[in-house]
Amino acid sequence: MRLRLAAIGLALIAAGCSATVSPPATSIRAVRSASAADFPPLALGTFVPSPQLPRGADQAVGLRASTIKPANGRSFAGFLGETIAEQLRLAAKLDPASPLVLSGVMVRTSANPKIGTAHGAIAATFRLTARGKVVFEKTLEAGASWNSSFIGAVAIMNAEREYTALYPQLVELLFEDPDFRAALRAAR
Amino acid sequence: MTPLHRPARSGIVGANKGGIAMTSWIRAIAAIALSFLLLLGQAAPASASSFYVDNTLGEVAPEAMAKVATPKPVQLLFQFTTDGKANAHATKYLQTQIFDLVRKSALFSEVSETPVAGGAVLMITIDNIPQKNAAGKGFATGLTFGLAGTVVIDDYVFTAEYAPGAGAATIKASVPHRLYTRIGNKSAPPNTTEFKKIDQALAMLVRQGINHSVNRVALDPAFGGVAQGPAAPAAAPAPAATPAPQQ
Repeated sequence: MRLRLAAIGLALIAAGCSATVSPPATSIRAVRSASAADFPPLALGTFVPSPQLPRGADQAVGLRASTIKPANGRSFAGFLGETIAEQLRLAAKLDPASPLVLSGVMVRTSANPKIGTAHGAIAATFRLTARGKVVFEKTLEAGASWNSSFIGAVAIMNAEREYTALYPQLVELLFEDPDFRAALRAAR
Repeated sequence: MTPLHRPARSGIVGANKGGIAMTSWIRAIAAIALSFLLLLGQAAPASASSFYVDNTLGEVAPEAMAKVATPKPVQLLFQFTTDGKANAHATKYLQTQIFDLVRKSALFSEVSETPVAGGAVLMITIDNIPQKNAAGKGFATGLTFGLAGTVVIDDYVFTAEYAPGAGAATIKASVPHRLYTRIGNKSAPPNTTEFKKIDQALAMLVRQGINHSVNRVALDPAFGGVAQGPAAPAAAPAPAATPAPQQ
């Protein structure tokens, strides 16, 4: 009986609980970049997963026995778009009527919270069009490594936070990218 | 039998007040360890926990509070980080409180999340630096039924940076603060204020950290704030009429 109870307990502890990423929050760095005078208002196009991504990778990321999912049943590619939109909104640079349209294709999303050192990475190919003409296209990647606890609950919590933090990090990389900024200036 | 503590869907966040304090997870881990032992048929006492805010910083004294003659509008950007990395859950959890605190400071005529006339921006960052191996200590506490008590430290750095706009130099001030979590059989840390609930402890911690960091920015000569100084003494009451000595 004890063994059975213990087994149930372990199963429950390890059972697949899932967490949902928080709605996009402020990235001070990204907002400050977008607030610059030479950063024009942007419209946002589509943010979609690459067909080369493993099946389901855009819908959930496995964190040991748990999973993390995008908010509201959307995709992680959509979450990237929402993260960009939030920073542009706070900088008053989100304008659906702008002739400059930013879109993205998610080409990588992964998190591996193994015991010891965990890794996570996301990457996207961003495209900026000006009046229908492509003026910028580049793939950028954000990655992180962190200490991962042997205790699953802690490892999952840390992995969720580290993975989610990759999104504002990728937006910061894009907004500060010299090629992107040059394209913005040239396309104004 | 005590129900097994298991993070519910998104409960990882809910139980943790937005992942603000690593230490609140120690309770969860201790509870998991305890629950596991209970499943094995062992009896165990509850592993009580308390939260303590360090008293070193304290509240901003009324006479030290900055006051400005002509408050200006400001855009407020707030971000919570853990070890320097964005923590979206905690940012969302504290966002309203931070805006309320800055508004109550009366240092600005308007506090907006989007750009304001004049282009002034106040950037506030709270960085949580959790104690290393905090989880392992909590696990040990749980496995020993609270006998091997633990006090875990969460350090915080509150940074306020004010950019007046139009190329003017920014003003920056940082303030350290500390939260303790005690679990099991361990004495309370000295020079602290005790709370039974983490949200109450966080409210005090955040209020003190924000008020001090923003006030220091406001007292910078470039900002133009002036400390209110000691309160004017109340008008001395007229001396009570002394009855003429009886003859």
